[in-house]
Amino acid sequence: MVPEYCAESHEFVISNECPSSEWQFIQDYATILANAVPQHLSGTELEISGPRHSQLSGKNSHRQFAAVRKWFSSDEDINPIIMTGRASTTQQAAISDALEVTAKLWENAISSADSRGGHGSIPFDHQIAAHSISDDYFQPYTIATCIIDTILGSDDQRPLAIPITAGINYGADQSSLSYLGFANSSLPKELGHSTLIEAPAIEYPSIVRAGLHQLPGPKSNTRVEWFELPRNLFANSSIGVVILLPSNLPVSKRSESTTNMLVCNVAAGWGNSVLNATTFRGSMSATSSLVIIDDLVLPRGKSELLADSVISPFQSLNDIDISFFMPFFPSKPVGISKKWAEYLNPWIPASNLTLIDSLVKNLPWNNTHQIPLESLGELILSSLVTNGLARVGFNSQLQGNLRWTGDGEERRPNGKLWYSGKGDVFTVDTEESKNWVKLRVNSVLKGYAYNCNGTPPKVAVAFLLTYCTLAIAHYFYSGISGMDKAEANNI
Amino acid sequence: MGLAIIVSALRSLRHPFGRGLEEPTKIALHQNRSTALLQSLIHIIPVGIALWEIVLNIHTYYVGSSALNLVYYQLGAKAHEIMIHASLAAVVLSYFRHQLTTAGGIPFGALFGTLAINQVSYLWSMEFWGSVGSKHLPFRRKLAMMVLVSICFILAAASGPASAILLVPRLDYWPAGSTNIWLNASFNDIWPDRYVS
Repeated sequence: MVPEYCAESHEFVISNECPSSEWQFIQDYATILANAVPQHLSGTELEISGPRHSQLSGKNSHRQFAAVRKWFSSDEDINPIIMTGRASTTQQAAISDALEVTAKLWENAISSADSRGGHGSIPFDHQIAAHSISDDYFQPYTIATCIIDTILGSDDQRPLAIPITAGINYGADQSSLSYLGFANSSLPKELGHSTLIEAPAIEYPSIVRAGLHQLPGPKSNTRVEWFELPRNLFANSSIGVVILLPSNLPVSKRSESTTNMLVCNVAAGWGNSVLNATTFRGSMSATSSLVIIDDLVLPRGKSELLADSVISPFQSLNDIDISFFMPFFPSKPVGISKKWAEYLNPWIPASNLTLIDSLVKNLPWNNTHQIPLESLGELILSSLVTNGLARVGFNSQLQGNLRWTGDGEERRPNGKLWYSGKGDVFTVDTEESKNWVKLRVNSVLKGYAYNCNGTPPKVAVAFLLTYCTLAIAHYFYSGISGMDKAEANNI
Repeated sequence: MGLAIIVSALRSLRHPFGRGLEEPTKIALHQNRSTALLQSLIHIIPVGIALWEIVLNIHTYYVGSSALNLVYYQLGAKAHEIMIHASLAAVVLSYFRHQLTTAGGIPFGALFGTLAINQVSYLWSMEFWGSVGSKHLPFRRKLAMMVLVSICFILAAASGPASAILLVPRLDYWPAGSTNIWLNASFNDIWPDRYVS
């Protein structure tokens, strides 16, 4: 349950269980994206990519938020349909917290590990360690697709056209879907890519534009309406959003009858990932994650590799794209109710605005012409939903009692047991923990080591063992035969 | 008489020019275990180092996030390689000496084997194949010589890289433990199918 106080948000950055908590990072991200290129260097052909990461917090961990613009193209050779969306992901807060605590306890356990067991000594001041959870760990992946549309006054009886979300395989012939243009908008055409990329959309008769025109609130504010989408039409979509843009945007022409709006479709799901945390000489890094996807077979027999299949705990998100192609990945779609979605747009008393209104009005409108407006809308919505879903279960914590070793000041977590990997460092009540989430944390040390991993060391050992055998055999032969060859040198 | 004068004259030059025309009989080989073992100590150091490297890698040893400049390890591996070459040369030389003195002799080209222990090209040289193809050697002795010399030369060629591989620590991921952890929430609490409120 979301606490009632989450209906309002503080202007300062606070990390808690509220879905909109730490929303300020979206403001920073959008500003950086909009200011990416100086105005005099910008052009309509430039595809501006934003910062890859922002940082979010948990109770005791830092997490990485990543967002990327995704392009999808249909299979047609002639006039393929191109769809775009903004995909984002971040680590699940509760799991990130638990992993960081585990990593810190591991650091403490080092000193009780000794040199037996084949591991050698582990100088504390020479450690880069990585801890990862790969099995049964999920985190939210969200993609939002928006289009600019208009309401032509209070008599506009046209049904709302909702874009189908990029990155979802609808399985239907997408060329039959209706298209939307930029018609009748009072916004400058440079603000939207709709003239360049036609977005396929579905007309939804249950929502009429005239009804949206009557949304409560002054027209000078950004008004938001969330609506749940029918599954038979919008498979795997989580929720739809209409954002009525303020009438007094700096870049829009004044029009009493036309209301500009963003119509968005948001799809979210839980994707299986690898969660990583690294430590270096006692300090913790932000947790990060990787996607592992094998070769997937798309419909019509076409195969496509969506992401690298690397598990390296030290590889950053920069090397891996955010994958999104439902129903393959993320594999567990999540539905969002209108009531929960409203917690994503809380009231901010300090500024007397709602969150989305504050974000829209604080965009650097002087530079936003180089970023499509629907792209900014996709960024805001995708980020809000991802951030909100990542805080589900925020207050759950690491459980269990530690197995200790030593007495008094020497008492530490049992490092030897930990390193052997043959037992659990935490003990829990079997009955109590029956329904608890159980995860496996694997730790590795990165550094210089002597081992026989791989073929070259094994081959080298074989050669040297052969030499040793030969030399020792010769030594014993000399001892048995006793043949002294000294005088032979003087002949 | 003239020849005796010449011999007398040469006898007076014995010291500056060697031992002269009269040379006492020498014993080519002694049988003395202590001396033989002492002379075989040439194997001790390279074998000891090789066994240490093997044990170190089999048991694994974590050095740390940084290591010495890799050049030092390379120098150590090179020194070890030189010692192994000397050791293998002693083995080959011992074999040839045994063949020369007790087994009826060896082809002349085989004597160059000990000098070329660090050149694997000896294995396809005229000296080696001439020796192997000699009609004066029985087949068993040819086979034994070919096998022993080939093994020693291959080991000599591979000893340097093998020693370097085992002596230079590798930047790698070193397993450092694992454990289960629990959170006081169910799977659906953290990852619901539908989030209502």
